[in-house]
Amino acid sequence: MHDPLPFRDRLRAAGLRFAAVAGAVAVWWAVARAQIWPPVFVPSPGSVWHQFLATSGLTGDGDGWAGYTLGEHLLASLRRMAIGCAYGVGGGIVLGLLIGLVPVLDTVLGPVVTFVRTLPPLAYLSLLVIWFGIDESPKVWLLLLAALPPVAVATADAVRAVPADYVYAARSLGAGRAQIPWRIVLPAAAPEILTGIRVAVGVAYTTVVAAETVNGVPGIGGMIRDAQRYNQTDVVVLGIILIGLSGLFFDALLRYAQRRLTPWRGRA
Amino acid sequence: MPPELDTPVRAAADAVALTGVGHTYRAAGRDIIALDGIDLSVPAGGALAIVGPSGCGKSTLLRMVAGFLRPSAGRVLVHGAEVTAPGPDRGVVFQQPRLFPWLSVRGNIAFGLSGAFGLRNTSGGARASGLRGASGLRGAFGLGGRPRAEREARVAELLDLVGLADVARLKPYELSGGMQQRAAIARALAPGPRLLLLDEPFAALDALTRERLQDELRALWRRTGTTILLVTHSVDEAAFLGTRIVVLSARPGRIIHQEDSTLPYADQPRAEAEFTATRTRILEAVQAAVH
Repeated sequence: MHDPLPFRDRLRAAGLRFAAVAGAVAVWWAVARAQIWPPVFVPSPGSVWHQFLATSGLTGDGDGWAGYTLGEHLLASLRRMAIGCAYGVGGGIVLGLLIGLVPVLDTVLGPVVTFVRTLPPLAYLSLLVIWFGIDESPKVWLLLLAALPPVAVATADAVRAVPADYVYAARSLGAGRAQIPWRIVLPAAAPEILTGIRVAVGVAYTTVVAAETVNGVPGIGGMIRDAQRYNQTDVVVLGIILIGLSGLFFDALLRYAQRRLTPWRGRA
Repeated sequence: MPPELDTPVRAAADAVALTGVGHTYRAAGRDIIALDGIDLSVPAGGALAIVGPSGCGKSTLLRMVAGFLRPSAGRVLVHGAEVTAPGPDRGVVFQQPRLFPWLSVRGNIAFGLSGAFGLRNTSGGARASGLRGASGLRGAFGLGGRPRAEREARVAELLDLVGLADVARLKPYELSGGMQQRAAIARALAPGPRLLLLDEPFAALDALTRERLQDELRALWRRTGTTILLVTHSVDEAAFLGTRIVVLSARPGRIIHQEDSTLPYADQPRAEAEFTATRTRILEAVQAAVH
């Protein structure tokens, strides 16, 4: 399953995907064209494309949306996600290692992690706004809190599943107790941790719009909220498509990293 | 030291000494005796083969010598010191190679040589007494902490020893089962252990590879003088490699047969008439153990 597909098969897969997207756009275009619903419900692909050109500042006949270009909105959101995910992933790995290695911490912290994981981000957004105001910190905190639990859970599970013989082998080769987490447990758990990171980035993506509901401009979520206020459905759809596409891109990037970093996945 | 002080001298010559060792564990609310009253010793430079039916506790015995497990009764001494934890003086080879998949073959072999371990490896003057001659491998104790060039030379030496120089850059999962087990043996030898513990090391290999690796292990043992403790369910393997052969009974594991052999020193042990006789005696003991 790790062997790269032959060029012809990859070409076929790419063709299939392109056809599927083209088909979906065609259906969308037909529905919009038929005017079953007014454009405020179903904007046409053309008007979304027009908004893309206008808000991105590519054609010069628009100056972005809410004072920022599309690129600035996207970059602001990606920056928040990058910072939130970095803290969330870092904290999640450390927490997962502790939970997986120290049974007492598992008893104490396990339920806390599950509790946070079950909460919808909007539930604690208000609390974060009260605590941290309406600037960057509550948004980053929200993304951090969303990204941390999946990584912590994946790491803790992976740590518990590390074969005891790896640890014994390392100890017999002279590794001290203190070296085991770094030299054995972490690399042995890496494949599952990376899967946890992929899930975490996905969760952060689903959370970013919520994170930007309060004072979220610039930001894709803020842009969507703002456009909704003016019934600019084409801008809303544009924002949704952009979030989805960049999500696809980053997931592909993480999948590539996973293949490169843990090629033994499923083989050892 | 006057020669009449016989006992301490003999104890010092024993690489492994077990006295009254037992192991009990709880399962389904009952105490189960896995091993009971094991008295056993292996002279330094010898090769002890432990044979017995499945579940007789022979792996448990090896894990206690390795320091993975504490005995519930009795004492386990390695080179005169009580075993409390695993250490680089005892190399372990498992039935599954258990190579680290995130490291290359070279990286796996170098694991036991990496920097921070150096002081641990060189500590303990007792180990120097076990050095016989200055053969390359045995003289290489405590390479840990040593300069990079020296470590690399040591890895290259081990790669040559097990015939894996060509595949040093590959990852373990890219090797055949036999090659993986060779790499595991080289990894275990890297810190220069005085004792090599092998837990059914060739059980998962095909018959041809198994016989070849038995030959290689014997050659390695003769060349390095490392003491070997081999757990196996193969009577052939025990007769071929064991200078002392011990047969354990089914649970609770007790020693029901023990004999010393010079076959592993022969040029062609399998061709000796004594080989067949030894095989037969062990086989009879094992069969008696099952009933």
